[in-house]
Amino acid sequence: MMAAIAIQMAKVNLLRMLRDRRTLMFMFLMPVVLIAILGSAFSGMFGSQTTIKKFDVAIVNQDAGHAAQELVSFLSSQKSQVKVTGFSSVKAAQAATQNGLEDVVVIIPKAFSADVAAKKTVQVQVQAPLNRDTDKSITQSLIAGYGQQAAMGAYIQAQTQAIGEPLQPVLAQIVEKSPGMHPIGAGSYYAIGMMAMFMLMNAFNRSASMVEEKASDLYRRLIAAPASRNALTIGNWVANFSVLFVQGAILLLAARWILSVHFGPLAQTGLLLGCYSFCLAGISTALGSFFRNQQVLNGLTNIGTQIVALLGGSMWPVFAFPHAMQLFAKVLPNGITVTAMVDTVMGVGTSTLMVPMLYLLVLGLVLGVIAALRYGRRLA
Amino acid sequence: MLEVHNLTKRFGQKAAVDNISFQVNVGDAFGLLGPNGAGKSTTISVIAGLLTPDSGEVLLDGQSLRKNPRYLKQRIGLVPQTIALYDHLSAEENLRFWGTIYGVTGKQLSDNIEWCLDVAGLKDYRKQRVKKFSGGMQRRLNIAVGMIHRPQLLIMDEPTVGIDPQSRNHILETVRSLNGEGMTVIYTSHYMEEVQYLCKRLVIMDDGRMIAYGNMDEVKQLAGTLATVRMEVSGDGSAAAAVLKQDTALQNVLFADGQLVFQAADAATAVGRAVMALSTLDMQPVGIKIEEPNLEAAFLHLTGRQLRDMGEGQTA
Repeated sequence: MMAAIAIQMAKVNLLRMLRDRRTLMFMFLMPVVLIAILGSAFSGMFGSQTTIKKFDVAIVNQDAGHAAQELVSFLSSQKSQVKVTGFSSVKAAQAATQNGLEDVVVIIPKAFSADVAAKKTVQVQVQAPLNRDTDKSITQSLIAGYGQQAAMGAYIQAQTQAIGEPLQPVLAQIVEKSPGMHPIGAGSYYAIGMMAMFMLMNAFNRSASMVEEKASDLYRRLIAAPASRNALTIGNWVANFSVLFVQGAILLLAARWILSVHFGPLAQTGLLLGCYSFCLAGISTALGSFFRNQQVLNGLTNIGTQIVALLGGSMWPVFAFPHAMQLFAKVLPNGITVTAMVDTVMGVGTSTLMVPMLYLLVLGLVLGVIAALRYGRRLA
Repeated sequence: MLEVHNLTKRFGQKAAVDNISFQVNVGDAFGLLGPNGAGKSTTISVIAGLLTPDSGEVLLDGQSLRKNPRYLKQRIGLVPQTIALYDHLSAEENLRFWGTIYGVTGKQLSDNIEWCLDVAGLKDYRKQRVKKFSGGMQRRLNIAVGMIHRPQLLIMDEPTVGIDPQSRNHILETVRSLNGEGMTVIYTSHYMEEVQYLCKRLVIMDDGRMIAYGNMDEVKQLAGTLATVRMEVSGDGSAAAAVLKQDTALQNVLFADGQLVFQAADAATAVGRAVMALSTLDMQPVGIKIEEPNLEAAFLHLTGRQLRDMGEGQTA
């Protein structure tokens, strides 16, 4: 009986969501557009460009020596990162960068090979427009790396000649060990942040709808029925949970498939979404049960949503907040969810996220029980 | 079957229902008549378990509402005053939802849905969403939902408010037919004609109190053999009423809606006396209507006010 009532109430609420175009727009279209805008606008903030596009290098080799030719060959061999084109004059190379044909200019000076042979310090000029600063830095790193490698080779060769037998240097092997964490992009962050915020807004809207319904004959008809108060509360709770979970799932899927946003493992993300929906369903049912005045509730939730969304990191990452403010994100359901989902994207495993998930479930359960104490009581 | 004993419900200092008692028998079409604010809706809200009485008792088949509310709720169908339906659902979806809430499932629910759609005359519109229904269709479905669990007792709270005459007639015929088939009905209204048409027994309420109770004929007789005269006049009706009040043969004289209304044992003589009295004010009646004793006359006799004066938004 209780399950049948809960299923029917969930069905009624899901149909209301799906059959109302304005609701659909508010719940789905608006968040997806916001995710796209915010993800694009703040893409630089997260260092989200995990791959740097291949760029063009114009080389002006003013030296005909061996070392200079070796450097050109080295740069030309980095085909995955740069495309090297030789230029006869600096002017021509600079003109090519100004016209956008080339990104970086490398000028190898005339005495390069002779200076290298004489073990003198040599300077290679790297020029680039301001907007190609990253490409310039990469080119400088490549040249510096080549220089160190060449110096080490020359040193070994000299030592070998001095001692008359091959030198076998013992070099420390420094190997990068990956922590298994991935960087998070602005798209992923704001998809999570907006999902959390719009689900929160919807939860508050649903509580306002419950208050509105309580003032109507629909509620009179509900409590005139022989269904127990617990059944009606659970029915409302399940209805809220269903709507919120479907909303969250659609938002994440839309971000994944429409905006190509990366999330973590599907099961873990789904589990977190379920826990968050569980918690929000408890909040909305409790608010809907306790409040009597819809205007008061609307006023509080309109302001409350903005504040809670901000403190929870939906609008701006919480790490940018002062430490004291960051504490709010550790107790607010949306803050916990955003942090846990961001962790999921970065590669944190399910076992590490058990505490936030349990917190959300317990909070939802406690609020649901509190709601049951109030909902469905006689009118007076 | 349904017994209401010394029921009182207060909201603050105001007694919305003040110590009323009545009994509704099996198969009755029972009327609760009174102006807005008389306490009708409060009374049925207590019976339906929506409000807790301050004192008194409600029993159905001897089972107490206080001790066994579930027994009563399973056997009572409530048709609220406003449309209590989900307008984004179809008629059939609404019936299925409310049937489940009332604990009806499976084939029984499907059978009840068919029966309800048939009674409401909505079989052809079962898949149509309620928001696309006319006001009358919504009212009919509102009633049908109240019957989805085939209740012993159907309580209808002013089910014809704000609808067109055709739909109103359909609803009245439906209620009469259901009662004819044995369903017990409590029908509240401030429309005297509806209660007079449908009900065998009734309570008249005013300001929370029960001012009349019994069979239709018994209640009508409370006005005695007095006929009610309605006389349309042009000119200062209030002054005319003041003059008529001086004549002791004319009872309950009042002026409302451009009409002088009074009661008298001998209507013909009373009309003559009234016309003579009006002539002293240089006034003449434009139209005269004589009504035999009815519920309106009983209410007028008991309260000195007309039921029809206590329209929407007014309180008794």
